Amino acid sequence: MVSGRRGGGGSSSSGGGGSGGGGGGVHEQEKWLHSALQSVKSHSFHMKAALDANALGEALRHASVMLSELRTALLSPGRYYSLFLACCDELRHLSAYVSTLPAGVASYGALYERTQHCGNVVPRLYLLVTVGGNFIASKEAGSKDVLSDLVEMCKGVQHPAKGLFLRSYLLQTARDKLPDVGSPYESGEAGVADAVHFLLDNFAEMNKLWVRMRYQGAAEDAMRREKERGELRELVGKNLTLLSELEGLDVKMYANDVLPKLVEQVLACKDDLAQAYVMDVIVQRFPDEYHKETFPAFLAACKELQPSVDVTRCVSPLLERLAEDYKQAAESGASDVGGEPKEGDTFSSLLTCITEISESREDMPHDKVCDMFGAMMAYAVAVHGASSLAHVDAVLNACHGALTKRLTGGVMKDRKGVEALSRMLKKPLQLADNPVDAIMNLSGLSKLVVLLGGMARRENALVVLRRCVEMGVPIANEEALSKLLSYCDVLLHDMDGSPDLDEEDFAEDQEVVARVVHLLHVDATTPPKEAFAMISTAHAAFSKGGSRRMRYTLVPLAFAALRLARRLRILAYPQKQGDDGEPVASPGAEKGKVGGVSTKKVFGLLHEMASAFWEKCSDQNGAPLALKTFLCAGESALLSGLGAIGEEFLTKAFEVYEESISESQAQYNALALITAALQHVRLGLEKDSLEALLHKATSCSSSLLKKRDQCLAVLRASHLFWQDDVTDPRVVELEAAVASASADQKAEYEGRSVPPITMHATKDGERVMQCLKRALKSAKAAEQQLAGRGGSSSDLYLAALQEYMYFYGKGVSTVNASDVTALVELVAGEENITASARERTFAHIKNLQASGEAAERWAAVAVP
Amino acid sequence: MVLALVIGDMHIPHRAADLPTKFKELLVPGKIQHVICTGNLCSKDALDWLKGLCGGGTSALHVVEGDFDDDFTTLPQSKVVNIGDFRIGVTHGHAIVPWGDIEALKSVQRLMDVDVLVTGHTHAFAAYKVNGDKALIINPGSATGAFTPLRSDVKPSFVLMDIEGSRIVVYVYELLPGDELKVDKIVWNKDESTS
Amino acid sequence: MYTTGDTVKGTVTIKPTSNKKVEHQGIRIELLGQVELFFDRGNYYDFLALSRELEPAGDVSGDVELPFEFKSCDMQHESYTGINVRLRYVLRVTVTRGYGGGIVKELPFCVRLVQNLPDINNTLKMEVGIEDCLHIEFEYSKAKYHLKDVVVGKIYFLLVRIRIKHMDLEIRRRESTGSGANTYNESETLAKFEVMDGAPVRTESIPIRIFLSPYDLTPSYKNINNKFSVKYFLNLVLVDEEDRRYFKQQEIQLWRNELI
Repeated sequence: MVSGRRGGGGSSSSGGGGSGGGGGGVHEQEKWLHSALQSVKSHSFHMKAALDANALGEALRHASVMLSELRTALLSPGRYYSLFLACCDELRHLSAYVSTLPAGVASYGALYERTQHCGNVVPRLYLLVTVGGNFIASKEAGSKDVLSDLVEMCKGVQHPAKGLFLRSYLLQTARDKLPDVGSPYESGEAGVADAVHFLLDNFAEMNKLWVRMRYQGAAEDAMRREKERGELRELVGKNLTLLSELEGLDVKMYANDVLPKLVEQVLACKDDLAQAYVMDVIVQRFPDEYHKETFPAFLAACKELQPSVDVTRCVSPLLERLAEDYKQAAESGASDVGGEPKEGDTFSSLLTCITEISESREDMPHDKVCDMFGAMMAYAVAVHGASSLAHVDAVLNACHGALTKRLTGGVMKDRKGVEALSRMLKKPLQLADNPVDAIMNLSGLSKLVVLLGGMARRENALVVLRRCVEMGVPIANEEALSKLLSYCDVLLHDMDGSPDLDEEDFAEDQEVVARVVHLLHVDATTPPKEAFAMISTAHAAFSKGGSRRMRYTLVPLAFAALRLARRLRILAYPQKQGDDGEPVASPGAEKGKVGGVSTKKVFGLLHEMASAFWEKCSDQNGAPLALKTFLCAGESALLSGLGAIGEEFLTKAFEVYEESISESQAQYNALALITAALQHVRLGLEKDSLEALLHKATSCSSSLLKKRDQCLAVLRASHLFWQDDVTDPRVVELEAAVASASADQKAEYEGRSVPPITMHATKDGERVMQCLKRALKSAKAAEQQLAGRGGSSSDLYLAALQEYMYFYGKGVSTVNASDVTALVELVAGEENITASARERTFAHIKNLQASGEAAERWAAVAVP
Repeated sequence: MVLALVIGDMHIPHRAADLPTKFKELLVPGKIQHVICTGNLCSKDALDWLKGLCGGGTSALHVVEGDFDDDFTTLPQSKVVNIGDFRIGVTHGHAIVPWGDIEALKSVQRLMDVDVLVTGHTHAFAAYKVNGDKALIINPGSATGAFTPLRSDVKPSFVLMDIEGSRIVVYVYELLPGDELKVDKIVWNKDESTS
Repeated sequence: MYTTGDTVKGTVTIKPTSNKKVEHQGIRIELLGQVELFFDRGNYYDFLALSRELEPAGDVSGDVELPFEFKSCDMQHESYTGINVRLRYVLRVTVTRGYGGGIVKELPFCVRLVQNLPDINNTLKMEVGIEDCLHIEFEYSKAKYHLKDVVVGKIYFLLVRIRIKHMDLEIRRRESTGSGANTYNESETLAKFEVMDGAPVRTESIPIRIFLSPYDLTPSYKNINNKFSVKYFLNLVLVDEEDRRYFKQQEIQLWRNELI
């Protein structure tokens, strides 16, 4: 072969460089286009004149010159298209004329040959295609032969844009001349298979040219070229559209011929734009039944696509189509679509394909993997509707498998991936009746949520818990609670990747967790054993959270335990069997076990929780919380007949007070609570124990730091030594519980009776008076302290007066009318007590003196 | 006519998850002039809800500290509010011994020098007209029906006071089992002389 | 139009211009086959000379018609007009006169020869190229084509490292005149047919179909009377973006399959 030197001009030059629009700016291009269009107009005019004069040869010459404008490589594809359209328009006239020629033996054939004399390939092929159309229409030659010749000869145009348009013209001309089933061009020799062959060939060539457009031209123009390529995609897609419109195409042909060839071409070209577009067109254009038959092959092809192709854009529409198809088939009741088993096969094959895609495409970004499994999940739901949980779980587990294989370090780190996975995980939560149900039935959910890491996992857990609380989902058993807590464990304790939250957000989170305790319904329908198991499980889980969390989460749990304790207490009472039966002791009651739960164990838990507040949460102001818990638990223990435990708790409360509560206001508040609690319930305490506690309460009260506090505390303490005739609080509790029980619970509670005990009301007038006197002393001391500094605490006298009046009113013998009168005088003389307050008190006494049973008693008190 | 909401002892989230839906539907901002809370909200969420109810300052909010409120905020132990012709005292009531004792409550009412004393803690609605003393003692109960060691039959409740001149109409809203809303009314006139 | 073995016959008509008697020394007709080389103008080489006497010496008065016949002439070569050489057949009538020279009149006629279908007509297939630049394999269906034939073939690209703008197939005639050391070759391009527009990539196969009938072609002539030869070539030309030309010339044989 010889390479010669640069020749000037000479041979048929097709114009300047580049693959399309290589030269000139927009202005220049418009000029060229305009001039080309003018030329087309002019030559077509001459062509038409020649046709009118029946001078075919001349007409062909003019046509050829006109078509030479399409040899240009200077125009952008968009402008070339305008030129192309203009020429195609004119060629219609030529074709119309040719069709009027008599169809004699070989006359069209001769014409077909004659057009091939044209020396330049572009005009030659346009003419050939035009005349070829007439050739077929005349039936002088078979459609198959002419079409296969044309598709082959078009290879002469290797310039991408020019070639694409030429072949597009070929399609235009051929579309109604395909030897399809039922068409006039079908014959013994030409059938739909040939039509398919033609379209596939043309497609392959067009795709090659289309892909080639990417690489021709300067690197800096690449983006513009890709954009132009995108605009031309429908030229290529037309082949597939026509394929899909063939009457004679059936599912077998599609599966055996069409799809494999398309896939082969798509994969071989290694071009992401082409791959994405063609796969998309395949899904859109061909009917569902074809896809159903061929999806393994299709999805296997998806596996092999270029890494930068977003496979989900092919896979999701495909899944949607298959779901649609299945639904429609089910609706129309087509019995041979097959019931569950066949669909089941489809489902598992699909899932396998999807999993393989994600495993084989290592570069596929994580978020796309999630989107793909999300589409698969949507498929499962669309097809299986209400019973889809098992299928959805299969998808979730497969997704988990796929993700763990590609995540080093176990947790999704990229933001998009996390968002996609978060999105995907929200959907199954809505599928089941409630989130707990979802978590119980979808094992994959819990596995996947671990992959979210940090913030996203927290958000997901919060969504779940909030939803449970909103819906009021009852958590019926320990297993469900366990799974739920494990799902949300990112909230329950510190772990790798735990998000760093500010105090407010942290508190909010923990309060959401706290609310979950109320879903356990420990005092309602949950069997006691289960309730206790759940409380224990929650306790174990919450305790792992450290002091920061326990101060929020253990509080409701403690109250849940108290509610359970009350319920067990009631269940332990003997219950009448039938209307007239004798009360029968509750089974296990004598051993302290009711409903399979040992009451002592419940208090054991309460002890642990209270101790945890005290010992472990000291940095979180846990001491007051511990104290309150000990007090409540102590009271409850006493009511449950566990005197020793009750005493232990109350003693512990004092310990906390003495060791850990040191700030004076806190001490005052704590002591108020202790005093009130001791006054309220003391059932079952041994005399000595009670005495010790009462003594402690009074002595702590009188040794508070501030005199003022002392006074008020001791006044309060005075009530410890005087109780009205007390009714057994357990009886009250039982009656009230029965009255307010729900329908389910009434059976549990009704007909029970509390074994009676004798109640002793404390009425120790001496001690009362001691306290009152002591309080007055503190009041005077407080007054003295402040007197020098210009302040006053004389309201304390008024407070003391109220207490004197209280006890006098109750008839406490140690409180005399003269004591009351003395205080009245004291109060009357104090300037610093507001007049209206004083007046109210005096008015009250006067009212008592005015009428009523006690009028006489009160008359002994002198009031100004 | 001045409307004052009296509400408290929600214990959210310690002893209840949220207010009953029916209550939330009724209690919307812009309809009442005063919100009086007896304490034991137990969380910022609950306090925020009360603030929301006051609609950014269109109503006045008066809250006192309950025994379980000390964790998250600082509130006064007691407060006196003037509404119309009435002095209304508010305190939680856990420090009033014996708990729920009417004489003890009356003592506090006299001590605080108020016409109306509002307390909570017992989780049970109560309204005592102390006509001799021209005083009214109110307990709105627990808005969420929260657990209390003091009783085993708690119903969610709250109170709305319609204050006009020397008269207060006390509306009590209770939620009965079966989610049934019951509204009762008590009229109290300070100037009534009967016992 | 005559072919070899044809009888060339006709009539010579003599029309004196005046009424006078025209004396002559004899009238003869010759059938000549001549090769004329243009660089040697006027110099004819007669490879065929047949002669018939029409009239002995005498005179002509009035119009005379003289029939002639050259039976079954063996005319071995075709008439040809080329770049530097011409082969022609001519009928020459000579009226010999004593004085003032004779009168000569010539009538050229065309001879064409039909050839037989070649026995052997192999496909022309060859792989050519420039190392690391361009490798192609061309295939032409036949080595020998008749004048109404179609050149069918394909160009298969094995390696393309240059940016091709287009590809043409030219039909070239090379006329060699003289012999030995004096051989003079001159070529002309008779046809230029664009077969490809744009740049192919490797493994592309470009079809070729050129109908020969529109072009002014003759059969290939080999060593006519040792005076000249005419050879035909298919010249495949590839032009790249910088207008560099790469070509491969391949000789073909043309033959005449029918007279018209």
